[in-house]
Amino acid sequence: MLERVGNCSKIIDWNEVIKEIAEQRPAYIGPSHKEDDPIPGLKEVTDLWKRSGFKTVADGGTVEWDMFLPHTNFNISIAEKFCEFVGLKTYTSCWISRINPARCSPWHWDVHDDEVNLSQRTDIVRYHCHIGQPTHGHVLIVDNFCLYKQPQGEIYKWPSRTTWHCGLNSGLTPKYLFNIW
Amino acid sequence: MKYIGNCADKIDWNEVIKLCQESVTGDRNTVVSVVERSEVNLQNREPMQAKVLMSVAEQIANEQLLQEYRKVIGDWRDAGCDLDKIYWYDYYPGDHYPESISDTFAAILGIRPLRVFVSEVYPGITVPYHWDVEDKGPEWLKKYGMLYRYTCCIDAPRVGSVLIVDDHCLYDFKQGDIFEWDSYRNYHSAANGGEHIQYYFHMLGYKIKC
Repeated sequence: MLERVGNCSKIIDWNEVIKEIAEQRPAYIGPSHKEDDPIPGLKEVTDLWKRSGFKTVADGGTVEWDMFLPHTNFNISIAEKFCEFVGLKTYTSCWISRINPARCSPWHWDVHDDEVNLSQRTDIVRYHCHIGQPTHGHVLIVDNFCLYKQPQGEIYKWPSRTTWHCGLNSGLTPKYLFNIW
Repeated sequence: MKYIGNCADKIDWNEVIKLCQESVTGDRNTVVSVVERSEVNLQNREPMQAKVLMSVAEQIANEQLLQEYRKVIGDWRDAGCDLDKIYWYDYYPGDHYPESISDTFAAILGIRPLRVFVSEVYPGITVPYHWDVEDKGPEWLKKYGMLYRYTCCIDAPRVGSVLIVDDHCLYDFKQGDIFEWDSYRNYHSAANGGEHIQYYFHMLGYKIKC
């Protein structure tokens, strides 16, 4: 079950982080996997998308999100401060995602390139943080929880790294989300 | 937005959805169609009436409505939305499902309906922040005083699909749940990141005096 952990807006200036990355090109644009990539679990996501008619922006659809990474796009101290706040000793993956208006990240779980090895690990804990101001249209659905107009800095712990989720933006400004596991 | 109640025991919404799904004459709304329709309505609506009989006040009101449409679309464009990818379908009583459906719904609420439609939002589609510019809004307000807007969640709860009205995000509702908007002009939006097409029933009307 998704669990609220706390609020870190007093220890991280998320407005400053957003301002910094908003001026940059993303490290890459998601989704990064192709339909026939030989990764365990990918097919159940791509099958659902295909069945429902989802297409990437590149293919004429609306599926697209921008990925910003520590070191590359924002200071690693942000991730470190966050880890300290939630009590995470170390992390494997960290990113800030951005969904632009009228784009979406449809229902999926985050299939990783190293899924074969990661699926064996039992020590992974995943968190996300709402780093933007509460804004009309900025929606994150994790499992069966719909998170809307969350205060800036709100942190949630996920049931699992591989929990199904989706991100929507029917607002007029980009939606940013900090993710770490 | 206020929760009114549930009408699933009074209306077979699955049947309404089925009729909409089977219809090939749903009204496809796009940025272009919505604005063009309104402009044509204004310019071609009995030309003599438009030019001669319409009062100055009416002409100003209509021009204001067009400006409202243009503002909504301008906001979408300024936000970077891909306007070509914004669309939704509407289905109307009498054309796509029996009028008795809207009659029953109106009777539950004590409303005389003025505008009724089922909206359909496909997976991957977002209808961004806007209000439903109503061509006849000024006329109806003058005539009926106050307008009321209702939304009924007519589909089963669908993962990944939301309707946001003002500050309220409708998600994981029960089929048949009815909500009254704070104002018929409330800004709202819809997005569907789920597997299924999402349907909502909407009614705008005025309250019948007892």
